[in-house]
Amino acid sequence: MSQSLKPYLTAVRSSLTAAICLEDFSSQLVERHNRPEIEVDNTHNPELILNPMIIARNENEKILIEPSINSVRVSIKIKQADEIEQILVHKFTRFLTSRAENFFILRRIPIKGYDISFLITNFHTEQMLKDKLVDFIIEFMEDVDKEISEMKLFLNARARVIAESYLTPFD
Amino acid sequence: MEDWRRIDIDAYEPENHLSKEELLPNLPETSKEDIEAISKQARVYLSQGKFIEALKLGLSYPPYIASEQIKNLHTETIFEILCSIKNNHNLNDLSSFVKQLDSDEQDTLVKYLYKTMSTSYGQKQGGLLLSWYEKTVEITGLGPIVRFLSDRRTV
Amino acid sequence: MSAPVIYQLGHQPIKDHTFSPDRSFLAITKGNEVELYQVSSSLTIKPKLFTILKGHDKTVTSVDISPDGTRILTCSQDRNALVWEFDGNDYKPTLVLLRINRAATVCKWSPDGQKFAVGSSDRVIAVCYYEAENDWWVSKHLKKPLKSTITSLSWHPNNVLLASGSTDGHVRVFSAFIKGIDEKPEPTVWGSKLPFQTLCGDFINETGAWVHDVSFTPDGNALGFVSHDSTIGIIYPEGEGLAPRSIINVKTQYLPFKSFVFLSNNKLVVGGHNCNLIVFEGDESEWKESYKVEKQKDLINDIPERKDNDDEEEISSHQALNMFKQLDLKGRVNKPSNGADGSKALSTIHQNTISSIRLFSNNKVSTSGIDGKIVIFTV
Repeated sequence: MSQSLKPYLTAVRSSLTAAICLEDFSSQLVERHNRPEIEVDNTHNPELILNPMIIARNENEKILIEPSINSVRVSIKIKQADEIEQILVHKFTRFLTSRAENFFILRRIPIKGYDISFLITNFHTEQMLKDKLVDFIIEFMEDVDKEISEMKLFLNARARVIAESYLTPFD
Repeated sequence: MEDWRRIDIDAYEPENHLSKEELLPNLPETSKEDIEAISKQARVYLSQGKFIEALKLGLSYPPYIASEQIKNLHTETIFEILCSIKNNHNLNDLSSFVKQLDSDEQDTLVKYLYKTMSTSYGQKQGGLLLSWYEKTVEITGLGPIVRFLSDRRTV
Repeated sequence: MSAPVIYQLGHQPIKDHTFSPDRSFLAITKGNEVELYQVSSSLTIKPKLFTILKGHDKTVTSVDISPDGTRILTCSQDRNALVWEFDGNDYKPTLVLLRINRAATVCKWSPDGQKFAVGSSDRVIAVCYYEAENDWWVSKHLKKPLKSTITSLSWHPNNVLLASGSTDGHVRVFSAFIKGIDEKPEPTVWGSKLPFQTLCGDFINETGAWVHDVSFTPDGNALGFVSHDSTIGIIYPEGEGLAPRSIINVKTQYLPFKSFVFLSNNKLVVGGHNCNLIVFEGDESEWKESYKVEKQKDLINDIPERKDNDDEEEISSHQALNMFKQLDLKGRVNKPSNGADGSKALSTIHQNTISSIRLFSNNKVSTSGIDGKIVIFTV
């Protein structure tokens, strides 16, 4: 399975590098406001949002990138093979999203169908280097998979230890 | 009592803003028969082993102005072509296929790679599409990706 | 003098910059203000800040200096534009009645310095001229058929024609002839009879992507533009009412360009999100890439190796948390172990997008970047 990981991450890296070309853009509809155009209703400004792209490794792991002129939304669906992993992913993402201010680019609520979402605006790309942001997201994707499987192993190990120590008196 | 706070004031001045339809370019509409003909012809090429001709045929006539159904039909055709080329050649041959396409066709290929990755049948073959993607971007660079994002002519 | 001259003027993004016509001082936008620096003629001494123009409430989007060097024009997202004049001690602003309801995005003096044009998010271009009896600048609006934010403007050398690029992908050439200020212009390939607001040309490329910059060639007979689909378009018109002689579209493999400038009628230099300057040469039949001004590393294929994090005594489920803690402490997305050499990630001088390019002299261009740098390159 890891043989398709490298092409997957390279594909995500090049797509993100292309999508993260943002610029400061004052709102056309509301005066004196500057808002991320991907997050607002765009029936009157269809020209400001670009075509969304999905990069999928299989049906359970994919990334949705929705770019616009001043913001890009990246949503990740993490591989969850069974119920334990579903619960772990849910807890992990909840931990992160409840601390979203410290994160700057994290969105508190993921997009429907995905587990976690990032919102990167032109202000983030002005303060931080674009390629570092892309590096961060790629590393995040790699690390999350690793950590979930480690957490699962750890969980199973603890469960076994507890079960053994509980049952020893009955032996 | 009218909910005046929620009136969409911009909807009253439609000529000031662009609508989604105005963004679409003025190209002739592609009909169902054309797409089905291309699909048949491509299958013929594939069964004869003429892979590069099938690929070039599929990529030269993308139905930019057509109904969703027609676009999906063409996407399936392209997907079949990509699968059959991948299954009959090894990884390094894909680069030679991409090199034989001209720049417009390369742009269209990247557009179809993204389109197929968003479908359920495409995601089942994720590894295949990703190998195509890797080889294509190696040769073309980031240009076609940027053009896929900003092109109003969607496949 | 072939090594580029680099000025790091703070770390805030510089949205626009101009040198005065005699190259003695430099104006840059910085947040809500415009900073003016004395520039030495040898360019080796770092520019000295001598004054800050504070008049805008919101981000200044564009700055331009009049061709005679006496007036500075600034416009900002607070829907205003100001004309600053030096009165011996200080720069004082003069009122400009733009009458726009949204942010101003770009402003440019006409080649004779008697009027200027301001593009806005209000789908309107305001062409302004001075009214002496009230000591203010009044505007006339170019409205139809603009339906989207104007991102760039360029004046034709004859002072009357104005080219605009906007986010709907269209490049339009208008006549900005003001009766009483302008004299009747000579006929050009763009048209002969040109009352105010005549649309002399409306062009769009195949993809319809946003136009980031637009510029007339030095002789005014062709129009170039760069758009978000990483292409450069050059239009050679035939004459009034006729289809253009040729429209050339050069597709490139780089990230989109934000700005470009014609070095001559057959040579132009572009730059933008790729953080590098590329020179293109050509003519009516074809334009091709000539060379890159700086050597550039490929970001996709040369990924720096990840160094192992040292504080791995803790259970590695905390590794991600550590990363986020570092983010919280340092406010940067840098991997902590990258420390010392994390300062320069890109192999080019500019570390972030190039926001504007201006002609400095015959073979030099000056660029400003979102990383706060002004660089003068020899091309």
